[in-house]
Amino acid sequence: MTRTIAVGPTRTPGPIKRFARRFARQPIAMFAVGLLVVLTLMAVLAPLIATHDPALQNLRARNQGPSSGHWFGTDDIGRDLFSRMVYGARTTLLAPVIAVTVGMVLGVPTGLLAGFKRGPIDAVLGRVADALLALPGLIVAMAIVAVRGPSMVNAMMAVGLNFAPRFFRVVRGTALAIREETFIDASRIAGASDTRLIRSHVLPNIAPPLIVQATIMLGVGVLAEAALSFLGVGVQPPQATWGVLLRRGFDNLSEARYQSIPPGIAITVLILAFQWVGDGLRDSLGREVRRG
Amino acid sequence: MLTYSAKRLIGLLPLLALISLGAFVLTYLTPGDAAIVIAGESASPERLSEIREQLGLDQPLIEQFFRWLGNAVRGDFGRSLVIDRDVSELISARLGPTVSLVLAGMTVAALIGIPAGLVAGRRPGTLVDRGVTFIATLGIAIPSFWLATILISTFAVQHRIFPAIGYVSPFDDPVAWMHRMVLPAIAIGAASAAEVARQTRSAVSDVVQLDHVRTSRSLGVTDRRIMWKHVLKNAAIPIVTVLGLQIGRLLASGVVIELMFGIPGLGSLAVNSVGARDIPTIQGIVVVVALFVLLTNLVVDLSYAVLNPKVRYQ
Repeated sequence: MTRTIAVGPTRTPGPIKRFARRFARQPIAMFAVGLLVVLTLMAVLAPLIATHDPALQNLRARNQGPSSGHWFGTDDIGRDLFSRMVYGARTTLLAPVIAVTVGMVLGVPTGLLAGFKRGPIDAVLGRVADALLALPGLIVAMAIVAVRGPSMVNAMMAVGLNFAPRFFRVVRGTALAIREETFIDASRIAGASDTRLIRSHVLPNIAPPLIVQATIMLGVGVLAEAALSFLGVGVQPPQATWGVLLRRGFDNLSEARYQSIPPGIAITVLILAFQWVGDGLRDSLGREVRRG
Repeated sequence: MLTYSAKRLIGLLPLLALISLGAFVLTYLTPGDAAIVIAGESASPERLSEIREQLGLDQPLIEQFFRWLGNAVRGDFGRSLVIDRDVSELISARLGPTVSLVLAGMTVAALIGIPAGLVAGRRPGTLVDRGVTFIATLGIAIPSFWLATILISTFAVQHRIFPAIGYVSPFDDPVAWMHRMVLPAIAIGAASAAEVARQTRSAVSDVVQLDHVRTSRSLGVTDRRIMWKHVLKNAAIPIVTVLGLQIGRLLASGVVIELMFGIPGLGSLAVNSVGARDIPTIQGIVVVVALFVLLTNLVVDLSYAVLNPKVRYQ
């Protein structure tokens, strides 16, 4: 009998790989990932899934209950609610991505700068982040929409501005912890430049907590978009998101009580999915990063 | 303690200056001529110059800011562009309903969240714990305005137990106020209750696993005594923190809830002002709400110093 012993370059997997491996072992989180994949497919394949034209009005079939012809019933001008939900998934899923992207573009570089350079830059950026955190996001988003004009992109960019300080804090905190590690000193002594240090040591270590934060903020973004659409300052008709459908359901409450149920469940499930993925990702962080 | 409070209060000033700057800049985010955007394309030249003068758009930028800031410090945010009233007057008239709604929501959050968290956290891993944790996760995910829709449809439309809209000041008629506040308070407070329950649970479950608590338990100290003497004392800081953090959340979801229940507070004022592009009023609301949030954060921080004297000397 011969025993093979692993020889050769067995590199320990990098922080990102270890993170992914731990994540794949979590059933609830993987289930939530599945949910998100299904919802995304539904949004992409909307024309194939929808049973009706989502904008087609039929005034002879107003406020109908669920039936075999209209699975979720029809709204107050006779549009098919199932088809409107399927198409609405597109903007509903896109909106939080815009907000999180804006938040990361603003928060990540500034966080790196503050955490890595410290000193007066850190103090100034920290104050700005504190000020942004004190502002209630929804009211600021409404204020920005008031001056820039109502549109989904304007609204979500405003929400992204509110997300930025949260990303800033995560990145700054992690950068602060990492810059004290011995391997950073070692690289520096070996002559590595700041850019190289950030690219090959800081970024890979910041990625996992950043991904956790981004996932959680996607869920918050879903809620923010729904609230702004509910208030009528998000997407403009005829486009619809699940938040818009909720608002119409509320306005139709006395005619058709069930109308807000499907979009309400859909939004809740979407937020839950992001939360579960976020929780799973956080549990996958492992001690070496969580400590920092 | 007094010096500590004063120091913290002074620390707020740069933040307030930054927030004011942000609110001031709002006017300049308007694409093109702010006056035309506000008054509409068809406005007469007289109306446009009136708005320019009111917003101070005809003066140099720096001068405008300091004049605006100087007035804002004295609580003067200018006149509303829509209603012939001072912004400060509009805001102070709306403050009462919003504060009473936030307090009602906070009561729901504390009365449901803290006991639920205590029950779940004292025996981590049990069925009760899992149940509370699951409901809390759901509670955070359900949008407050959908919950409000369900509540209105069930308890105001189908069964006429609570009124769907309307507001009565608690000083005029406390019973009518409570009756009208039940549904909005649950709608606005549910997510906060869930968050408070989660944080309380994790704080309590951390404490009950500490060595000295386990020792006390093994020595036969009663559960009740352990809860009061060890657990609540140690878990108080995280619970106070999470309760304080709810103010911002309640103010934000209050915007939609006020609109849905017809409560004449800051939120519905904000919605109306956004619709009418009444920039001075929006600026006023942003600054007032931010001040509100900053002050509650300060109160939370000061309560740490009361609960834990070590904080005062850092």
